[in-house]
Amino acid sequence: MLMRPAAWGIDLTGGALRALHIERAGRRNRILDAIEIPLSGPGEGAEALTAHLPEAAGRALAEFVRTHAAALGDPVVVALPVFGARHGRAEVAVTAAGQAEKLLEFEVQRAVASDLEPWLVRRGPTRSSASGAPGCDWFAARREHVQCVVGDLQRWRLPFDLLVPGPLALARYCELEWPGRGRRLMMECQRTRTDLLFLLGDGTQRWRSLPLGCGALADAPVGPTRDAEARRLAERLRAEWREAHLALFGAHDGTAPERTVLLGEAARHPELRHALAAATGLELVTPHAPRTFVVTARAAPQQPLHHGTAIGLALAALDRAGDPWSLVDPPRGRRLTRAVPALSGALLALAAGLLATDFIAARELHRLAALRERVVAPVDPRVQADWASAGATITAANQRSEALLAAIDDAGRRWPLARHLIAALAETTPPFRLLSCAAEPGTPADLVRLTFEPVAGAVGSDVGAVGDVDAITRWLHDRVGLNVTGVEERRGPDGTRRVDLVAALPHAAAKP
Amino acid sequence: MRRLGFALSLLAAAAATTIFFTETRATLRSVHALRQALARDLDLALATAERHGAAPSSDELALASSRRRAALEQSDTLAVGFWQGAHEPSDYLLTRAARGGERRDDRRALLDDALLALQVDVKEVPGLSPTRLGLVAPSLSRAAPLDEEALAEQFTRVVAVRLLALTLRRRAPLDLQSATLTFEQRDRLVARVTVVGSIDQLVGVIEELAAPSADAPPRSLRNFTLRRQEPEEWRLTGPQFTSPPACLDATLCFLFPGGTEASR
Repeated sequence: MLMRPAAWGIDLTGGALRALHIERAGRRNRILDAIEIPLSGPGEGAEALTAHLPEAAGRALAEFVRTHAAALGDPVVVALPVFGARHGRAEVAVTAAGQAEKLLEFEVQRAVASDLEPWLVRRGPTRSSASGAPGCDWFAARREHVQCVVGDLQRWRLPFDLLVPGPLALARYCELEWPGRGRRLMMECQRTRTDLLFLLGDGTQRWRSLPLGCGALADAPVGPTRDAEARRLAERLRAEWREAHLALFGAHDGTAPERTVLLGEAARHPELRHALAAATGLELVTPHAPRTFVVTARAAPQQPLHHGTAIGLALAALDRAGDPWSLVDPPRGRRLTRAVPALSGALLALAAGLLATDFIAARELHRLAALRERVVAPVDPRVQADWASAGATITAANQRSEALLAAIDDAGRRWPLARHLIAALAETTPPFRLLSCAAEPGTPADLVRLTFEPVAGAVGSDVGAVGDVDAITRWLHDRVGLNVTGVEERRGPDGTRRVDLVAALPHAAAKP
Repeated sequence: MRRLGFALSLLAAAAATTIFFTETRATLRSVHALRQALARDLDLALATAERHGAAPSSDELALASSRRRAALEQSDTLAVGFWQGAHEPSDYLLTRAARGGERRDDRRALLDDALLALQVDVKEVPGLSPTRLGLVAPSLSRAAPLDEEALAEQFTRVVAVRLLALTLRRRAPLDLQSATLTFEQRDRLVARVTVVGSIDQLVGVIEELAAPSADAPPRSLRNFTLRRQEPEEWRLTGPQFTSPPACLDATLCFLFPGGTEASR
């Protein structure tokens, strides 16, 4: 079965551990699992600004790792708390394309600090502003802070790959779920932290993270106290986002948000939603139905679409281009571990291919050997014997038939001639009569010798009567089928005239 | 689990690679060599077929078998018709329906019966002597000591003499001047007959002697000579003829079955 890419996004800030397991299936993302483990105490609504993660996070992580160890082979992206971090946008004047990158690099360094040693700086992709000036967003976190967070995660044995600033992960989620929807304020209000993300619709992103949240509201009893707490928090948040907007954008026209998207745990409190809408005077929405996500039944009870930062973290790992904002590189060991299934598959495919080659070659060898055996094998002796026997028998039978036919022809051919000749003696053949005849077989004609003598007193009985000999010749030809080939006249012992005829009787001309 | 799978995959790949280099490569080389050898053998077989013809196919064998059967049937049909269903000389002493069966055990008795019956016919033809024609004298008390070859020869002579005797008796009066029987081959008995008679009688003699008949084998008239008998040559003591006689000298060849030619 083809493995689909999946990743974990873990947000440890805001007073709770929020972990989302997301799988990419084609163009859609499927939220497989969602875990939320509270870290803050009851009624706690603010976060301590320390470099280290809270100790409660360690316990929650230990529990999480224990229960989800099997799935943690997928990339794990952790949110970096951004208190004390800096961010902004650097732009340079329109210049040659080759020099823009170096100038931007310089501008970013100049904007972060004069001494870059304590800072870890990350740049976003270069893109031009509306005026055409190339620029890029940048983020800088204190190196010591990052090391503290990484040290905490390692101490708590959480295998992780990337460490991404939380608001930037939130921005990735919002751009995916609500792309190009005008000027918006994304407000992710967790129990002890609130991230304000300003999206101007032209790619500009500004954010501010506040160490206050809705923890007190969540633990407040339902009733007037809760409503009062909601109004108080709403007023505080309104003041903060106005201050943040003024600080980030100044008093420019055209940057005021048109709509507020409320995320985080605060989205679950209708009192706060109403109070915020009333306080800000803006349209306020919360995600109810997924747009580009599929939520499994296992993850649905945790309302995972409210956890924008965790979703953005997982999306950062699933992005093929990688995440430029990560402050750490994926550990080589984890990359190798993730490559193990693919490598195992490749090795298995190699083994299967080699074994298949061996099998096919062996089968081909046997096939060719059998084929060659048939080609070089002498013809079956029985077949040869049958063939020769049939030929010899046919020849013998034909010879016997021919001999029989010849014998039949020979036996039946001559006796009618003899009968006719003998019968001719009884006939009157004036002016000659047949004295004798003799037949001898020959090929292709039998030879017949005939002797005639003139009938006494008949006309033309003298020697030299050629016309009478001609009459005899015609008579022999017409009656018996004899072709006279020689005529000889002589005198007999008594002085009478004798005519000797030699005639040929072709075999085919013998008349019955 | 992943590492175990990887280890197993590595093991499988190593084993498959080992098999490939130890066996598959040799097999592939063998396949290559065998293909070349097969191509050579095919070329050789094609050349051989072009020179000497290809081996017969099953269809050709079936056709040859069919033709052999047809040729034998034709030959047998011709033989049966030619020899009137006889397979050996003694068959002519039997009726047509009784010929061609199993070899009879009472052939000696058949010969004795034929010889005895022939005595009556021969006596009616002056000049025809069974002894001079090579026949043994029949005896009612004991059979003549004859081996198989002599027995077959006697049957041959009996059939020929019987034909001569019956023919001459039916066409009487005739003056038989000579009659001889000589074997040209084992299956060919040549009869030379010189007989004087009227023209009508001689025509009948020729017809009966040479024409096909059921109780004698086919005959071939080798040659004949016919000449008129002059008045002074007529024998005063011989038979009286109604018209001036002629002398017929004929040579006749009896073709008996069982010989090498025209027999199976």
